[in-house]
Amino acid sequence: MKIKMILIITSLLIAVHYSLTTPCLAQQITLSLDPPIVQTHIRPGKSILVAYTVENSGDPTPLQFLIRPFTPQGQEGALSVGDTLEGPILFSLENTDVAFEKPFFFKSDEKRQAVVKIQIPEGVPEGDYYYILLAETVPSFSVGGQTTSIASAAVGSPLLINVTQTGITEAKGTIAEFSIKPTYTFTFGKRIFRIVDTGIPLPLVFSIRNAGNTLIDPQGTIKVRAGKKTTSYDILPQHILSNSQRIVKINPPQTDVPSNQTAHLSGLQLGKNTITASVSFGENTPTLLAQTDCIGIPIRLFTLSFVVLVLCGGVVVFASKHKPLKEE
Amino acid sequence: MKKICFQRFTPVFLLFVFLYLFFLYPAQAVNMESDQYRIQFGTIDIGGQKMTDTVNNTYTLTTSLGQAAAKEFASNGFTIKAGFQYVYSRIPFTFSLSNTKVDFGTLLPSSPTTGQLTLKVSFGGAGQYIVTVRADGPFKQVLGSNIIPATSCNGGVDTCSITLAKQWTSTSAYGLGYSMTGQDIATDFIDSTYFRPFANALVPENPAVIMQSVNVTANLTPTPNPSYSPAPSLAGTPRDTTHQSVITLKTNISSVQPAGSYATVIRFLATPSF
Repeated sequence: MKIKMILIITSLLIAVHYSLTTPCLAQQITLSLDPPIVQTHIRPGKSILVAYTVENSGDPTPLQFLIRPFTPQGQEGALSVGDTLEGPILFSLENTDVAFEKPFFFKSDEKRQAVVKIQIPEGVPEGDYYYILLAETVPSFSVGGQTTSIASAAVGSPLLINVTQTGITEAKGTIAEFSIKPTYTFTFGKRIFRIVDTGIPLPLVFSIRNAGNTLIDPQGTIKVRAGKKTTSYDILPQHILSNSQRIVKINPPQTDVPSNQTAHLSGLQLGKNTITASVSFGENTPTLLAQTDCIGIPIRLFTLSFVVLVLCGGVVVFASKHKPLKEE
Repeated sequence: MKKICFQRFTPVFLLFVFLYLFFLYPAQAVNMESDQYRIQFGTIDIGGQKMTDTVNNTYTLTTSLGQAAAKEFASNGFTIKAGFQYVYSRIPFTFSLSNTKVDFGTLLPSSPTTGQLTLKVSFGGAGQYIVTVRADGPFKQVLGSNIIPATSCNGGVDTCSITLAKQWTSTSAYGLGYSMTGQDIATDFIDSTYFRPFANALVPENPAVIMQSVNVTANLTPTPNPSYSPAPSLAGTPRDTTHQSVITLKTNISSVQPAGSYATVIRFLATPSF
């Protein structure tokens, strides 16, 4: 009787456990943030509202909104985010249910709006101020006797604020670098000769410096001219933030180009190739020009041809020395 | 009678046990993806409409009327642009992490242990992005103050830094580090034996860039440009809208490492570049 009861209870427990067990999933984070970037011009004394939408397509997680200043880092588009909110611009969340730096529980498939009020106090100096809105998951520790890394994910939306009385900004862009990476370089007299292999794409570095207090948007083209043939590449529109330098890219971007190069130029011709760039920063701004040149030689083709010729010559010499003796 | 009941009940019981053992859901991480297109033309939305193709809802097109940014600065005292104006994108920026925890289990001296996380970035509409990583500190004892330091890889000529990966193959080289494989990763991760230490927020060190691209974009202009035809026969080879990489965390301890549970927080930040 006891065994029967034990079996019934065990079966019941297994059935209940089986029917109520939910799948065991690794906790995944998937966060979306919109708009991805905001650029604004504001007069001192004014305030604006920007509505951000964050969506959780992953598992439930604690989340918090943060505002942090950032500065451009290096010249490849990276940014360095500050650890604390500082600067003259005032930020507040207009939502009643969430506040900055206060974690809230963010359910799966939930969308939340963060209505950010940006206030520019009177007397704030004109110029650019860069911040980033972050939606960051708050890590929770449940180590349980093991060595563990807890991952926290954050998505950010850069906020580029230009404080101006007039709405007119001044572009102070200069070309910092316009150079190619030739296969060989040698100097003859005062002239520098850059030799490139026409069979290999030529790396180009085109960097623009913004010496002003407001961001600039370079527009222009890069042209490769060889004989009568000209190939043109458009510059990818990218912001260059105040007092920073950035390597520009071509549009459409090339996938295999390292982040410290602008493009890989292909289709170079035998002889002189001239590479030029013309760039401006909007209406009523001067056009900046840069130029470099190189001599294209099909080095690989020549090398291969030379090797083939040597081999053929060797075969001919070998054959002539080992001619069979003629019968007299 | 009792014996008969018992005999009948035993197969039922065994059946329950069988069902319990063999029909459990497998544990898995859920991947959320869509291979459909979603194209938006966005500015500051004042009005607009959503259009969906009538064939099979493959394409969704939303437009907006008006543009607050077009209003004059002089009258309002501000102008504002949201999204990348040059590509008219308001498609959300999405970042996904396959797990929130990498459990190394029980560490044994000179036996490197690894764990992986998958990172996905989806821009959809346009542009460029950067993913950075930084640790709150080295692996620290939960109930104590001992640490597992950051790795310097094999040492000597193979000494790595937070921005330069080097080979870490020696079992007598200790610490915590990470390697990357996949799309848009830094070029110094030559293969899976190349590692970097995490940037340390306590130093403080700047977060290290681990993924970066200017080419995460939907194919707004398919190649080759299609002549007009109803969807879904819109030809072309769409470029990826999601880029993915795998980060491998590795730790190795010496025989003098004090016992205990060690933990740290690794913070990933994904941002559309400016």
